[in-house]
Amino acid sequence: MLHTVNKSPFEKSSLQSCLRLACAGSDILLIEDGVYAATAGTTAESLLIAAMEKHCVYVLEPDLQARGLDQLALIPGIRTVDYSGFVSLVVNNHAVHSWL
Amino acid sequence: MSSNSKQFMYVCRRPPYGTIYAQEALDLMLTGAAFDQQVSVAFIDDGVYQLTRDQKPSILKMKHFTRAFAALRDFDVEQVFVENESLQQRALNVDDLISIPNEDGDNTVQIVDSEWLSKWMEQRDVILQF
Repeated sequence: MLHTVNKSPFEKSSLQSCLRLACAGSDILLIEDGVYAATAGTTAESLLIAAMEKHCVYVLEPDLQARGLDQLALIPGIRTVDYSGFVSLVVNNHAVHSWL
Repeated sequence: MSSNSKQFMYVCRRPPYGTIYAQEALDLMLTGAAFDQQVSVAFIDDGVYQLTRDQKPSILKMKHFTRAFAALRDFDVEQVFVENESLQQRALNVDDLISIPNEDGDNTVQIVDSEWLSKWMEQRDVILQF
């Protein structure tokens, strides 16, 4: 299962709920305003670090760049993907759950 | 049921009257079930507020659409889950929620924990969240 999250963790609880309900081994992809969770040093960092023990966590690079976040440090271990990487994640998983 | 029918799951996590999401989700659930899909529904986060008893949206001149959840049983949707952790966060329990009885009079609304629900979700073919 691929879980996508498109809301900032500082505005909505989508990421928190996703991480509560995602099975170990499933992939997490941060997109749109979800990418704010990927930057280092925020109050959401501990949540992401804990998540990476059970999941591969990805962030969509164009959404980072669009928000000027590609110049900031990301949480170590989070992998950036481009649009074709996004497509690969979708086809390599049997289903996608979009957390909105 | 045909072998190529997919297991659909609707995940409701918004409260009922502030936005149109909850009502749209219910419309979609009933539509999908009418097309012979295997449908299950989960209420998590603020979605649990869709099932509270004694709603009076007529005060706001709004339709009491959550009543139509009772129609789910007429479409053989008998897998309705509510996440216990979401109830606890909101100081709610099963007695605060409506029941949706099946033909035998058993309540089809099941309170389940996050771990159980995550495993159920993992096995669905299609998940739509509202």
